[in-house]
Amino acid sequence: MSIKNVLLGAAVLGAVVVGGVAVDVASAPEAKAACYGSVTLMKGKNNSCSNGARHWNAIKNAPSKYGDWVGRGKFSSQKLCWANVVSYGMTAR
Amino acid sequence: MVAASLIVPLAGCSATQPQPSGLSRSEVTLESAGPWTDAFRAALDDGVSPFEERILADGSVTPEEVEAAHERVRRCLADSGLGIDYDPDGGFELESLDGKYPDDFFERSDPILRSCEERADEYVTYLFAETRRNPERRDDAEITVPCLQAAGLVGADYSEQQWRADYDADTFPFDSTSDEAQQCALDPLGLWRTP
Repeated sequence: MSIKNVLLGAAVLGAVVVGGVAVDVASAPEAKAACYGSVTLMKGKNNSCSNGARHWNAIKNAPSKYGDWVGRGKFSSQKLCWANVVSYGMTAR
Repeated sequence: MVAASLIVPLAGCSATQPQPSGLSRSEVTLESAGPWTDAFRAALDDGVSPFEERILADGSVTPEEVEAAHERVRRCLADSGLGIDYDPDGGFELESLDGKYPDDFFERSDPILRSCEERADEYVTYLFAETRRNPERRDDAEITVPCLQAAGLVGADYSEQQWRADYDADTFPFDSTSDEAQQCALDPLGLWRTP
């Protein structure tokens, strides 16, 4: 399992890639990438992202699943533990 | 040069000066925001779209405004062959309208989603959900612990301090995915969600 920080547009994503599936990556500012943590398949915590953060699951051959945007100190969660997740992570805006 | 640099900031403080999105400062009243005023202000200060600014300007978000924002995002995504299925409890699924999901679906679709949200729903859904769940913006532990106790998930001796510690460490002494726990997380005050 590898951990990569992903920068897409204005949003900063931190991704954990499951099963070796690659994610296109660019360097993300470390300070912003570190504003969330405790990221698991099911949830992630916005530690200090001032404009919010949310959790996501990328799933093989299926729609992507997104949790709510949450403020500082809160967890963004998935509704269920989805099968066939190929990567998961958090987006900070 | 000096004069110009003085004039610009002064003009920016005028009560009738339009903001970049078009609303004048006097139109951004935030009159209904109450304890959520700083959250609405922070959202507006983050540079939302004119559509979203008009929704947030009075300091409240109605269900109709949420639906209007969702519809705009939905139409925007459809232009790129994407669909969105919002969950009434929060969150959503981002789907391909043709039912095909290449391996890089997330990497290709997420930037489109963010672009569409920036046009209509950076903060509308978030502020609607937060203000509906906790309109007086009370402390989360204060409103959640009584709910958990009433649901029988914790005992009478379970404290707000313990809830904060368990929340931060994700170590609740109950199944946080159970229906009862979800009810307390989503609607601790019993204001909107039918168990």
